[in-house]
Amino acid sequence: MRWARLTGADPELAGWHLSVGRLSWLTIGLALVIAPHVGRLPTWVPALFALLCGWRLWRVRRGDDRPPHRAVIVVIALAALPAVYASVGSLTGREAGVALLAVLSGVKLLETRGLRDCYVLSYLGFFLAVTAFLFDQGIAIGAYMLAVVVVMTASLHALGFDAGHDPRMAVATHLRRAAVLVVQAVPLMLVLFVLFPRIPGPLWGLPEDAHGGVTGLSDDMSPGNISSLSQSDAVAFRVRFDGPAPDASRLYWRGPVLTHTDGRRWTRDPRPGFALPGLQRPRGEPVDYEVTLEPHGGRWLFALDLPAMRAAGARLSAAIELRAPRDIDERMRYRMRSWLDYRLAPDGPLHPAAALALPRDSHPRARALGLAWREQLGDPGAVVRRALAWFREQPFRYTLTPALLPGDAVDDFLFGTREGFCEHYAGAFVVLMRAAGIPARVVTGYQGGEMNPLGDYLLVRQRDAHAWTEVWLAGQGWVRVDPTSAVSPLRVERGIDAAIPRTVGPGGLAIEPAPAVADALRRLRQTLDAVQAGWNAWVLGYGPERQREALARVGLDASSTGSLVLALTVAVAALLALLGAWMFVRRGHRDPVHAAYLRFCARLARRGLARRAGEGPRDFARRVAARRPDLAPAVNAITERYVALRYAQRPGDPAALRRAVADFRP
Amino acid sequence: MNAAAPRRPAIPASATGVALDRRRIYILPTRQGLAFAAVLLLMLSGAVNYNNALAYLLTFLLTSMALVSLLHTYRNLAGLRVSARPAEPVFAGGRAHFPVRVDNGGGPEREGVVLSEKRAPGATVLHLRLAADSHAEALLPVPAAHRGWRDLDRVCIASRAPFGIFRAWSPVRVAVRGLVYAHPAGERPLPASVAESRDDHGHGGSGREDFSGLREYRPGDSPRHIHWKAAARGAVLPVKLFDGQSAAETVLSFADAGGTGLEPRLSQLTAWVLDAESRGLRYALEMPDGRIAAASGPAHQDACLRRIALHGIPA
Repeated sequence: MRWARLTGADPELAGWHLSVGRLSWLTIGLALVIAPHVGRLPTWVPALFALLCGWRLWRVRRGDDRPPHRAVIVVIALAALPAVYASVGSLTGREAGVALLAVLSGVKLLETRGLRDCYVLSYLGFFLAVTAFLFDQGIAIGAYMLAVVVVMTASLHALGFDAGHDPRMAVATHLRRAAVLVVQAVPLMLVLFVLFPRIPGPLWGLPEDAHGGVTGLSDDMSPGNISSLSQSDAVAFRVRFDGPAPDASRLYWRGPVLTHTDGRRWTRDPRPGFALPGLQRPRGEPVDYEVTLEPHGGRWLFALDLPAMRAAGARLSAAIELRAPRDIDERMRYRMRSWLDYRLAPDGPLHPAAALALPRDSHPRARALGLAWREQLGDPGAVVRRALAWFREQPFRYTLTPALLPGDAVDDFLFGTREGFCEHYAGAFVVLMRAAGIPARVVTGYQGGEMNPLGDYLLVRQRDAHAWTEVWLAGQGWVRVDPTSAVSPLRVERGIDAAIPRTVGPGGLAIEPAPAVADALRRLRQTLDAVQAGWNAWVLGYGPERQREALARVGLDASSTGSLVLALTVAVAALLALLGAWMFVRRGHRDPVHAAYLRFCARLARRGLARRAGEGPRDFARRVAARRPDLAPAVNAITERYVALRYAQRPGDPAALRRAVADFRP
Repeated sequence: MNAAAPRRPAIPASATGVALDRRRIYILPTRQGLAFAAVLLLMLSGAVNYNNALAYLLTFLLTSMALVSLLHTYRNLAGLRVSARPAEPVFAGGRAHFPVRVDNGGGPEREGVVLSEKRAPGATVLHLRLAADSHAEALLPVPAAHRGWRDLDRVCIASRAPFGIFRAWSPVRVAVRGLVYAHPAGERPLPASVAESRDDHGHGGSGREDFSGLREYRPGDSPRHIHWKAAARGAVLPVKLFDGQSAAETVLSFADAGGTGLEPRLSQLTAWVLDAESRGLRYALEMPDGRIAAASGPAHQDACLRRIALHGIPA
């Protein structure tokens, strides 16, 4: 075959050499792909990459395109493996993979000499571009990579083709060619994205760190872990209500319910059992909504107090916690229905002893206080009210940065520091209630959220994380009591931002921005989040399920791969045909200079003086002048103007040509 | 190319050449294109595995760009007109230069257009620059190993622009040919003039002719007669002419050319013709199938060389 004979000696590629320009294109492309990784990689990796690039560029600039000695390359490549292992701690995960690819591309750059090497490097670059998405799938990185693809495509163009001698013009030409191609490819890309059959992954086992860096509510509660979440602007979930959204004060998003305590840390009942039907006696209308939950690495699904159904595949525990069968590593949507007015277990708590247990020899002062209230008031309801009043009357302070509690966490908080965050209040309140003989437990989750008027959804962030309590009262069942609201009513009515100023200036002084600025900032934030939500739903969340839904609307059955492939083929062919038609039909009419000249030729053709195929403009002008000497001056003027515009080094004014052609009446 | 091989008569190249259209243009991925496809597959499997929407998007963007670049590669050739003209005669073992012309029939700028006789190692490839509505002309050198006709049946015009992942090509039938003279070689001295008057030794001794003037260099002139000093001053190579035995007549006969085979004899005859012409002799050529009467000058030389070159080759 021809292939075999041509290996290595294709005459069409002979004479190619690695110029500084080509090498610079490659280097810039690779540097741009590696740039987003810089914070994640050990510092030496980008540094080594830059060093290798610089070295190679310096050598080629001096006219020496030979690669360094093979031993140098082998040593660097071999040393990279243990170095990456030493600094990343593994050779298999995402970070290690990217570090190895970055080092590899630097080493490859060092020995790059032929056209083939350059293509290998370019492809390595495209591959590195994809790896950035394993860490971040935001709009910003997407837009950035689109720009990088234009640069890398321009570099592919620069590899194979010269674009004139003026270097600045050449750069512009390469970039323009790449940009045109990218723009023309976008419709096709969208068709592929929408129609390409989505397979539920993964194809092979994911590395353990595939879903790194997610934050969320943990399964337990100890002083400090919810307040640490409160620093995070990360999105917890978004909710779209079918009807109007309930009042802010009723937006308690129920998560793990914590019954056990060791005096400091609260944990779940390890075997809470599963919910029995009939436990809830709802009143009023249920609230229906759809939750889009960000991955948080745990299994909790959040629902308004009190969830009335199971989300897909989830189980509902007896403590009314929704728990997914697997860790939530990817964004997930579920529909949910909740009763806001409910009665939970009015006939008695499932495990009364667990809801009354306190660790031995702990919190003596809190126990004494609880017991005293009980003896004094008798009625559990009155004890609850008394406790809330006490929190309100005593100088308690709601703060994100409470003093540390090294001794008995509850007693020191209640009778000492008296400053704390919701977990302090919830924990201490449950201790007081249990001491008074009232079954009580801690409920964690989120409270509130911010309505986004643009997207018409409620945004709940990690900093809305909250802890409250439930006490069991005879005849009423489990009743929600939020001791934080006693201390800081704003927290529940207006959200965390109102309760705690977030902008803290030097010296810990709170800086309140002017109301107009704050308003504008909030609107901007809401707009950005609405865009983000759309991106999440339609780009990032476009999986097998959403594909089925979306395509069903246009009558396409996405569960049949055959029909998808057929639709895909037809759509791609149609788009390519359209693009081809557009490219070929407008051929020659894009250039105004040429179009003017064609008009001129057409006018002459109508007088029987058609320009012959392949006839040069000046030859044609001579022929016309010979046949029609009267036209010679005008024809020559137009021809010279045209030739000057088209071929001369210093082009003139195309408008003059257009005017001359317009005035030309043979 | 064997001199004895049967030859088709040359078809005169049309004035306008052949326009490339859909049926004539072929397009296939290059090796770089196949490698790119492999990279795309790798990226796609990564996207599926991690269920990563942006990885999907990037993979699809690059796939789409590859598909669109196919159209661009095709457009680099579509509508071009290719024509060629016969080459000037050359001596066997040299290279015939065919003037080729590629016309961008009112089309947009074309990129990376290359033209060669065929895509084989060592073949000369012309890189053509074709702005919108322009044309490119160049001489395509092709090896001419044997005397006789050197046919240029077809040329291959190709492009891999914009990204080198596809190669569009079109074999274009141009059907032109150039004459290849026999390779001048042989040790035998020039035969003696018939009307012997001044030279006793049977051949025009060097240095005895009178210098008669200069003319432009033509293929076949002896390098000894190039006026190097004059050449240094100008672009053309001046050749010294000598006014030797203008009245005498040298007969260059196939029978006298000696040698062991046909080709060495023809080579010897060719060398004689060149020698005789450069000395300004009047010479006649006697071939087994006919005679060319004595004369001198470029036209005569060409007629003699042509007769020798085509000896035994049917028209």
